[in-house]
Amino acid sequence: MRHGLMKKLGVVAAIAAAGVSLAACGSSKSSSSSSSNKTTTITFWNGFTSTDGDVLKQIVKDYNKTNKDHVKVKMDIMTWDNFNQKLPTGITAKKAPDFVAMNYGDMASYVANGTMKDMGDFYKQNGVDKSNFETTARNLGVINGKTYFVPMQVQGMYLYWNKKLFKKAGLNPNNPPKTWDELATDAKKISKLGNNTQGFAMPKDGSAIMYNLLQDNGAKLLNGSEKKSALNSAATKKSFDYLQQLIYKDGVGPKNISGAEADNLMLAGSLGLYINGPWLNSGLKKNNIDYGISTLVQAKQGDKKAILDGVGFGIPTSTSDSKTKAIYSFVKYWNTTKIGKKWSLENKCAPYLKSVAANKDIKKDKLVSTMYKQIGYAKPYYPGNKNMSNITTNVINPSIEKVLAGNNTTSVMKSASKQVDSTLSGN
Amino acid sequence: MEEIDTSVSKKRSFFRFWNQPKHAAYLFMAPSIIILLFFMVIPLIGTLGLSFFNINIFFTGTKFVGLDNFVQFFHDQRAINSMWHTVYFTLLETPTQVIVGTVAAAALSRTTLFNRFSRSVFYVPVICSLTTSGIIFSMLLDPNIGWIPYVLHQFGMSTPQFFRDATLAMPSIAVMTVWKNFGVTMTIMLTAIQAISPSLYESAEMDGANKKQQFFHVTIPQIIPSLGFCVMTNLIGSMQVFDQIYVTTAGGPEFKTESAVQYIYSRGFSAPYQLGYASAVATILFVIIAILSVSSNLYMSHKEKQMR
Repeated sequence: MRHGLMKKLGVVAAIAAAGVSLAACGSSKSSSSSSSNKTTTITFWNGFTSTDGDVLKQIVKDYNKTNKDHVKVKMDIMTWDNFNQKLPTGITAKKAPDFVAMNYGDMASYVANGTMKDMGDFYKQNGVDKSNFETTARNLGVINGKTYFVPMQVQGMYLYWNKKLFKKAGLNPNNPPKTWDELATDAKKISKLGNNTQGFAMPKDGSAIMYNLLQDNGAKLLNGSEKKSALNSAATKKSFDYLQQLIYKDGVGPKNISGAEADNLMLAGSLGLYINGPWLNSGLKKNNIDYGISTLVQAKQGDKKAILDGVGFGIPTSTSDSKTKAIYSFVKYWNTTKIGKKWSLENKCAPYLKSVAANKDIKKDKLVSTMYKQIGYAKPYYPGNKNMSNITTNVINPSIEKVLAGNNTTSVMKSASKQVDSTLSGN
Repeated sequence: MEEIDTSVSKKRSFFRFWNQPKHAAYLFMAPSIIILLFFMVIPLIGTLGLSFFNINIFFTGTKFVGLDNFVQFFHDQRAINSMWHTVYFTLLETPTQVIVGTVAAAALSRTTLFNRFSRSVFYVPVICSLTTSGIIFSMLLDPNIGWIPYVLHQFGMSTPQFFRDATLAMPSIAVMTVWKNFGVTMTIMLTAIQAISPSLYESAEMDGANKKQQFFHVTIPQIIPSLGFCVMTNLIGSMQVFDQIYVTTAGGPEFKTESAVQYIYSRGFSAPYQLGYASAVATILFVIIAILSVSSNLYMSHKEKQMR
């Protein structure tokens, strides 16, 4: 019996010893992140799931191998949809990543809820040249005078056209439309080719195109103080009428199509004209589509209006100061000419660092240099407004759908304006 | 030594206590009860609690608002519409699935090689996730690249817009759901049909009943309990429809297929992250489902008594 008891005691002791060793492992891990000689691991969430994700993975891998700050970036790439679902709950459950890459439009609601760190001191770090950043790009991350994100990528909406379909329709493949009216004329000609060929696609969730069209026509979404809707105007009606005429009445493109479905049409070579961001380039190249890209069409020739969009690095408030320092090391690495050039050339993105824009390889690349032209005059759309994401999803996108389905544009506009007011008043 | 003996006898009485069937039953139920408690009861109480607050997903600016969120629901046309769409989907999906499942079970009840093969084939969609099925149907029914519109076009028919048409979208989702799930109903009904004593059919045959009469007057009354179970589980499942809509139409066109759960999800988990209001709508949906399930259960029990 005593022997049995001793045996039991032995098992208990062994378990306790294992527990102590495990605890020791845990404490050594925590000290690894605090000691300056040990590696600090920082977690990073983003939504670059396409071919851009492969480039990002390579950059992170190179950084992990070469950085002298003993920092290791552990990256988790998910779809933007997943990202936008996981991050809020992650922040609430104190399981947020150390830093994220997110769209500037989504950032505002996080900032309004006090869940993002002020990153203003990043530009004061040794080796960071604030003046090398395009001011518009830098300002994307500024809300109420504070910097909440540092740019990672800037983008806009560009005009894509299928050169093969242009030729078939008797159009000059090297002369894309410059105005919205020219776009309508060319789209009509292409849509007459038949065999399921579409002239132009306006996705029902195409708020980015809609905002550009509204802006070009002089329509405003919000009033000066951004407390009331300014949608109820002749310029908005003109924009809605234009889209309805093009899609619903003239039938130059599908009536009820999502952005993803419209992308597929362009990638399949059966869409003549399309407006989208730079991410479409890689797929078009992969599918051997003979296409061109130009700056966005305007209300009239010579205008220079476009909306600037972008993704930046942000840090949740739950991240410790020591980890913030490590994150700055990676963000600094990202914002070097070498990495900026790689990201721009491989993903066909406009550069936002002046040193990258001045690089001869960048200047030589037709697509990138065309996109860069637009970055020069593009401006963010109601930056820092925490209601924009809500207005886009719940008011503008449903309104586009109604316009494309043939609903009365005046009543759609009035109803949208009321809903914007209701959203702004917090109801 | 005495101490050890006491502990051994305590152990024995412990095992003896839990070995009795009436006590052991609790042990078997314990895992389910614990899971139900942590994943159903506590979240349900939590949801009810949250519905009285103006609270966002970040738990900032929380304010007690009493019944305001419930009052807001009755002024929120989109929320009310989402409830109607859910009821419409349930009315389309539940009877169709139960009928198709029962007819398939009756047709495949005899154990032949072909019937066994057919049962397996009909059960395959059940194994696929709803998301996968949704993607497959989206591609099959796509007016530009879909196979079904292509075939219809080849026969000179106009190409329906299916998921993109406000009238056709919900029926298309219902058809897809029936295709995906009727294998479960079929399996349950098959078990019930196979348990019917053959002597009942023999007697019916001797009385001159044809196959149709046998089905309605012998098979159906015998399978009423299983039928009731299928109706109730399908009803609850349909009222909670989400995945297939999220993947195929995302609630469109013009919110015409937005279900209650999808509306709750979009209110709570996307900007402006109104967790309190989403909880109130969830509570209302819970009450509706509870009323429907209890009434359908009572009706089926009544029917069962009537038929016996």
